Amino acid sequence: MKFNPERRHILRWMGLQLALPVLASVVPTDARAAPATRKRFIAVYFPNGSYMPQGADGDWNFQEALAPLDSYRQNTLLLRGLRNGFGGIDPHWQNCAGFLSCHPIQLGDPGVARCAKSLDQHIADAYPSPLRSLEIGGLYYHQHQLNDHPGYSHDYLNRIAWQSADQYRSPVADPARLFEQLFTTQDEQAAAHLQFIRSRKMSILDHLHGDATRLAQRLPQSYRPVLDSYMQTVRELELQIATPTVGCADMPPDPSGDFSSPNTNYVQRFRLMHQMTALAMRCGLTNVATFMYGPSVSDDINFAEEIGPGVGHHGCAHHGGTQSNVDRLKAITQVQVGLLADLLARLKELELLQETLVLYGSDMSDGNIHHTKNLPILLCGEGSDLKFGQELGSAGDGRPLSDLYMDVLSLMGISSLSSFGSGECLSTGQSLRLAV
Amino acid sequence: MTKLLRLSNEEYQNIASDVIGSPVGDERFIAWTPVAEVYGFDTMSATRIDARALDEQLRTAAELAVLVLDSPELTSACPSRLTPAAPEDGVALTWTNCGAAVMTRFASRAFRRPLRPEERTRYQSLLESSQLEAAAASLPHPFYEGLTTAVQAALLSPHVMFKPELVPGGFEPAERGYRIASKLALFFRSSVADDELWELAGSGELDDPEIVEQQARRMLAQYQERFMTDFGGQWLDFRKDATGGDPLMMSMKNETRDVFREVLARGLTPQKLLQPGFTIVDQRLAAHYGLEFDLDGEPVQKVVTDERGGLLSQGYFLRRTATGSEFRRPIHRGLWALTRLLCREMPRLDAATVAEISESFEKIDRTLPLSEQMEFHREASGSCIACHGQIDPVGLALEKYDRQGLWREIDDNGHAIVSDLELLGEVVADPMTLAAAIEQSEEYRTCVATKALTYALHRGPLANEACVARELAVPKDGSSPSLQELAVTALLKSLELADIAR
Repeated sequence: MKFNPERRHILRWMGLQLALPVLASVVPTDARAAPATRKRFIAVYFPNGSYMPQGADGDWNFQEALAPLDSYRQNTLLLRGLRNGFGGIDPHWQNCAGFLSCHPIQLGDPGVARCAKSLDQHIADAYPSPLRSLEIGGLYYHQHQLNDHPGYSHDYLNRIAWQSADQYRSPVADPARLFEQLFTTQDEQAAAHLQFIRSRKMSILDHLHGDATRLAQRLPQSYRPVLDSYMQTVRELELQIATPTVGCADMPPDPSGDFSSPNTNYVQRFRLMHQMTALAMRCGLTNVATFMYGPSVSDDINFAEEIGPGVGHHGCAHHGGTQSNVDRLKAITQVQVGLLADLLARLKELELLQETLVLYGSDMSDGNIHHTKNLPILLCGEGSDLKFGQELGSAGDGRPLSDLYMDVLSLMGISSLSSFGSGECLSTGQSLRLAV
Repeated sequence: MTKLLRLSNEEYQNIASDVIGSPVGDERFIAWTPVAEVYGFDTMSATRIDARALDEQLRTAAELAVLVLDSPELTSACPSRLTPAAPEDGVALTWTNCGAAVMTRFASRAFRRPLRPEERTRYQSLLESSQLEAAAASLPHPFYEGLTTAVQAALLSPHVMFKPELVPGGFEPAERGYRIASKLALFFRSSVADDELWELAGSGELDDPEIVEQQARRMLAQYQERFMTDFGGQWLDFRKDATGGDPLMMSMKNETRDVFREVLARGLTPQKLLQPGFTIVDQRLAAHYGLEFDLDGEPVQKVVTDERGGLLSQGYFLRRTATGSEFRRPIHRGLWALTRLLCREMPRLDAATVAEISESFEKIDRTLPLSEQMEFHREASGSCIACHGQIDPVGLALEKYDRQGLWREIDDNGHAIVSDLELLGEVVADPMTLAAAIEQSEEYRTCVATKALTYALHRGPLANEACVARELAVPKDGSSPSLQELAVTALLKSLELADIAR
């Protein structure tokens, strides 16, 4: 996909005044947020943990793993001792799908990947916007080569955003695609043609909706949920396309570049998408985003461009104590923490950091033994409302990650949930006391 | 009951190619969300589609619509050629003289049954309203634009993207012939019916079980390559590329595929997959294995040997399972063989067992030979034996192959490789005795039939169907059906079980 920078403008914005009241009217009142200081949310997932042997704090501190974040120390709340794991289910599958949902994956029905609505999607309900939420990552779709875990859908390895128990949201990998979705190109001469193309899309979606309705009428009642969720998807896309486009910001980033392989321009890819996400938030296109800096396992990502050739991420996370692997894992962790610093810089640039909560973390502490206690978790933002610049908790606390998520919801003025997660990962009802 | 399943991306690509009449390349599907595998196959997923994935499909449909309208076969009824450019003076194109014929032919094939009257009406009004909008936007060829809209809508219709023929009510009783045709086409061709099958579906001749059987055999012969890739390739992993671009791995992957093809095409039994008595290699792989290779001969040659070619002595299996630590290799190899070749399901690990596994990492003396380290797994007092009692005999017998899939008698630490564990009631000391034990077992034959039946049914066999696969694989007359025969009988049986055949 080629873009011509001179012709590129950011569009959309003014049409939102038209779209938003419609949105507001379809959101149930109890799901909407009470006034809060934080009204945007970004969650960032990185796979395979950090160098935290046996779940000890290890390198997860500002001198080592977090060194690239040094200039944002005062914007970072370091949380220790949180856990998020379900015994007996392979953590690569479980903890990726469960990272933001704290709910076990449901293995009984291999036809459909099932987890539970994730934190970001609860927030998206309460903060409606033309683009419900942005999912970014998906550099490649990780598949267990041997697939020797019956019932474990590969979807669990590749998705953290769950709109409902049986519907995940798939991430976009290509900056050019994200650009198109956010900032439609404008070409004066072809405006009428573009308008026709948009209108065609709407007619097609409407037709598909009609097909699904008619099909549903023919089938037994038990097939309704599948077709209903299909129709919801159609409607969501209609709403996206219907949002009229008028410019809202200066020059957006140039999304061209080679992103054909997960290992090509890894850093550049995320930098571009950070920038676009921040702009989209600034423009009011969306309030919620999730990033996956790699799918669970991520063995196809080897960071050769950043740290030199070598084994893939998963391979060095299972370092087995081998020094070269440990060193490589540490270097990878720093590359990714460096990306977080870039994201924070973008948000700061657009003066969004005060209104936004950024959650950064992994589903494992020690990837070598798939340890799911004392997870590496950060909460970032700006403001004196939270204990930024501090460290809370300690390795042995064993508090569920869902306790943090209840606090996040509360910070965002959302009180419609009485608990978060389930089973071993159910929230305790006790706040982590993040507020100053 | 079968769910409302989604078409796999491969099936969609095949259908698009077959309906359009020329191959549609992979590059158009790169950004499609993969469809998850269920029971090892991606043809039976009911995963929901999200807005981004649907948006991606819209984009592809726009490209495919151009190909549809460029296809002479699909547009032959129209008085002039369809292009987005302004038409030259002549007969104006309309729904009646062009659109109806294109939509009827194209959508019927993609829907796997004739377009119904009300669907035709809806496509007509979609075409005509879009044509008006195109005219209002001053586009040069409003009819072309309107037809494009209708074609794009049909390309993504839930009637195409889902498989309504598998669920009650999805097809009408009068469309029963098309239902059978579609089942055959999905199974053997991963696509829609070809002309011959389509005609038979329409004429009612598929009511005759003999004709269905004839067609099944014809389809398998005619579309062997697709069946091999989508059934065999998913069952035995050679469809997706896991070579990482490594030339030797690519040669190995080809070996796995070529041996499977040979067994299928030559009417050999599935047992031959384990001990074919030959292998098919290129020069690189022959050199790796130390096999003779005629340098003046074909680039890929069939070599007679008892040492290579079997599923458990193929490099593609042996090397892919050998990544990670020493410990993982026998476990991965064992699990693969047990789940793929014997259809065994391992018990799910409970929390206590997971904790036990974690602890065991520290207890095991890593200086011992691997077989002795792994003995720890099988202590009767622990819960590990439930799985490792099965995994370790396979994994340790295969230790005679190193990470590269080469034969060895002594491991990296100088220990002799020996194992005396039992599987299927036999001591399986080495890869040969292991392959023989599996090959001779009814369990293996039944497992192959189970895979074929699962693929045909689009679901796992139900508890009360457990004996069905066994009957297919081990017939009462004592015969040993070929892989071909099993494919055909599994498909026919699935029609019966799904209550589609009469």
